[in-house]
Amino acid sequence: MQRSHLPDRERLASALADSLYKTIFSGGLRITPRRVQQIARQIAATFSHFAAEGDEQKVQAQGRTLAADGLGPPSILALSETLCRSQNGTGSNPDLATRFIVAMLGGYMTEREKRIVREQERIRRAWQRTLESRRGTAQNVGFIADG
Amino acid sequence: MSGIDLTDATRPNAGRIYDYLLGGHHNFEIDRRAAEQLIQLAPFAPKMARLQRWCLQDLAVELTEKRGFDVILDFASGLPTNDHIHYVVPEGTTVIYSDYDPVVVEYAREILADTPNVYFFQANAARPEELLNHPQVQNILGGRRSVALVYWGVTGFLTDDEITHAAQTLYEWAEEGSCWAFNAQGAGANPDDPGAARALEIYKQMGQPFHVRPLEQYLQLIRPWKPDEKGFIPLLEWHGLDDSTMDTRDIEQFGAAGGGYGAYLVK
Repeated sequence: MQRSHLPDRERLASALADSLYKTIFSGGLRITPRRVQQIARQIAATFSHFAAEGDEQKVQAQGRTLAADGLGPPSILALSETLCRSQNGTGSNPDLATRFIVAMLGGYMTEREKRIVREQERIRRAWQRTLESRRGTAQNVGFIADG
Repeated sequence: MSGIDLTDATRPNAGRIYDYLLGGHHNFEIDRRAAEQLIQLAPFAPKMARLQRWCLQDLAVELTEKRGFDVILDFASGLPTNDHIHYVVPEGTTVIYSDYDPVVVEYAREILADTPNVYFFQANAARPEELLNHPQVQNILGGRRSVALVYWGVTGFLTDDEITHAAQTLYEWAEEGSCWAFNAQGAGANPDDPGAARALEIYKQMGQPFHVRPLEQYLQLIRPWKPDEKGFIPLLEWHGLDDSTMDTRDIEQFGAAGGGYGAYLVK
């Protein structure tokens, strides 16, 4: 599609890594500083592929992976801003970054919501089982005391 | 660490506050309010929690792939989400987690149910013998005592006597060549800073005091264990960060190490 007008992939990866470092403490649990470069390179590669093939599903999958990796909302917004800025002055279609970001955010938000709900439900069930077990123990103690 | 009803949702709890600082969901409004108070007084606290937690996967790789251990016993594990030890260890590694919070244990048993060689037991890190002498743990270990041990993100909540007891118990139990991944939590922090002092008061009022000690004191408490040749590494350095991630107030309260150190102790 527009490969010749794309920002240099390494430069993009470097800019994405910078934005991740800046938001690293507001990210999720699982993104450690050691993984920042690797994640930034993955996103830059997906962006290049999207520019060439227009494959939105792959971008959505990237968004889902970022949510699964625990990337926080401030980090995904910083990445989006960097992607937008990276297109300035490249002569590429201005819609390219926007379409990429929309697809990435779509995948990210779907996966994040799913994970939050699942996590909260697990915690609720753990509490329920613990309290039921406590109640059972207390009743048994009561029976012994009554008996 | 004992004497607290961990299922009392009407009182803030140090473990759930830690979970909130890390962005987790195992916390209640009362914990979130206490955590926000802490953050007001000591804004670096969530970053310190993250610096600690980020180490887990690093040390899992170090202990297994680099040092060759195939058994890890982790004390005061917290929720075993997918940033934890079992997520990155080589296939076949036995990981034995433990925590004294019964809700954490229930949660863990659900998500680890189908994970081979990964176990979770209820035990108090202040009394490691609870885990070591557990019949099921002994059965899993089958007499193996050349193991990797982990105390990470917990030592600030242990008294001097409890750390001494843990160090001696583990040393006597473990075989020569065993390794203990140890986090000197809070070492280098300044308990006399007014904000830090008030934050520490919150933990004290909760009945779960946080003990700030210098690194030298930790070195005394962990004897006869000794750090390996790398020694105690500041948490910031551990992650390749520098103190530019801290402002002046953060450094005054938590010290330039980022709120603690990590080391591999060897027998």
